[in-house]
Amino acid sequence: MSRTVPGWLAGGVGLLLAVAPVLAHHNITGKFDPSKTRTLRGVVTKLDWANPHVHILMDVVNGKIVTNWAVELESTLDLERSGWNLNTLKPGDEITVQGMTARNGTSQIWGDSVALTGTGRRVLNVSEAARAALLPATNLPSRPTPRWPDGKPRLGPPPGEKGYWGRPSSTVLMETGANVQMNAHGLLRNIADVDKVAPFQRWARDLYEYRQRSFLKDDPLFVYCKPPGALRLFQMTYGVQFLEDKNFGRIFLVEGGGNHIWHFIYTDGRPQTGEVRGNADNPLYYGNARGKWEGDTFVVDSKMFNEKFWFSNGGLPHTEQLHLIERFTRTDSNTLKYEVTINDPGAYTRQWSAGWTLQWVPEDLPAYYCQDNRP
Amino acid sequence: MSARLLRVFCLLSCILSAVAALAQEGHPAKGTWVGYWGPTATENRLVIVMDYDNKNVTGTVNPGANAIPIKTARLDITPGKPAPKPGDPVGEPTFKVHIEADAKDAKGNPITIVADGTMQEVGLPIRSIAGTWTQTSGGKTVKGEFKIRRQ
Repeated sequence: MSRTVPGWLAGGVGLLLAVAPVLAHHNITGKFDPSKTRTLRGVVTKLDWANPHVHILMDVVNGKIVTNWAVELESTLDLERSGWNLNTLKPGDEITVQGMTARNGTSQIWGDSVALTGTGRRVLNVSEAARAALLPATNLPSRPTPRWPDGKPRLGPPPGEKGYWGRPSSTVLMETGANVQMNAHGLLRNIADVDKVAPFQRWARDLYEYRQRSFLKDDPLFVYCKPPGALRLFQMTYGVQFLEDKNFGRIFLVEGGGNHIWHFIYTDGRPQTGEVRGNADNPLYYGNARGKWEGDTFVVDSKMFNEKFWFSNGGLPHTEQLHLIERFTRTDSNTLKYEVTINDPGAYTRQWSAGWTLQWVPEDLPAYYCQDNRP
Repeated sequence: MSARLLRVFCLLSCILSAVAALAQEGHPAKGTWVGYWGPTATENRLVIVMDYDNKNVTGTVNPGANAIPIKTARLDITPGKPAPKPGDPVGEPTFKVHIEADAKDAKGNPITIVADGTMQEVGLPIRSIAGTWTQTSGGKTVKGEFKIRRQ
């Protein structure tokens, strides 16, 4: 394991625990108000077992009025990792729910705690093991960087093994050296830090602040199931898999969340041209990407992105002029160092950089699908 | 220009406008906006195409024949006050749009256009701008409301 790992591990875990009381794979405070908590007792009418969030529908009686509440929970993936399934609750079960209610005043609540009223047994909570699956592990045996016969590092698994890159040391974006605290979703702890995050143009800075003040509620990744385009691919909790196709000079990157969307990087030296706005097969959420090796570092030049997505957690704006230079260095079997240079003269006043690491997860890529038009 | 050529030109303009409108999350003013202005709600059709050239909002009012280039356009964002702590109510943000353009009427007389509006539903691709449209020609000023929606 890299010498730097314990430092970022401790910092990352500490920050996550300090500012993210729930595990949610996106910022839920855009929809739910942490200052408006409530306890509900009622009867289950339906368990809706679907992504991106499981819902319990429950009838709550208040005098002569019966209100059907929607209790929102984590994804099926996190709940299944915690040992729950669609049979955990059935209609007619009496439950007690504690959590924060919706900002818009509708009968929706985030289920911080769901317990069977009769026994007090907590159900549909996220286990420590499920939480740990999203955080950097400390006990992975370290091995040298696996290599191809030509000596180049393997970005995917060695023959006969499986695995993907996940558990990012940082899930937020800010300029290297910036001293800014955010939660795991990129929400600033102090809104006065807006100007420290990146060298924004005025409109981009104000739009970023607006998105922050709105608790990221308009994030198209979650509102419309848009892909985590550009560098956001490497901030996602469900990881990314590299599939190296040496024969055809390309690398596929498959995302663990976001509907297993793939991003391909050509390494065959072809020119960086194409349909400027993409097409149905390649809508350019990941740009036109060309990669080459510089020693043990894989360098990817990407441009021609569309503007239909947020390119990072936290809502930093970008334009079609976004140009990324990404550098991937597998420093050992478990660690992928990610460095990115961001150049977007439409949204930023100058070029800037950021970086973090990803950790090898020796498992199959999670099967998580965001289902359109669902909260 | 023949009628056939004009039709082809108009068709191409529509296609190009639609392609430009595909973008959703870049500069909030960028895109093709369609609506009306006037003392009555549907009096004058408006098509406004706006872009951002890394420094200024640029664009055209009613592209095509007799297109009116935008002289000045601004988007002033007030992200909201006060700074919220967890649990604080979010201050109301405002996205103010200001557009100025010079045109000529059918007789060649100069027209000055000033539009001031507020962008609404800014998180949606089909956001809208509504406000006041002021058109001055020959010393006579006509004022009305306008509302345009992003396509």
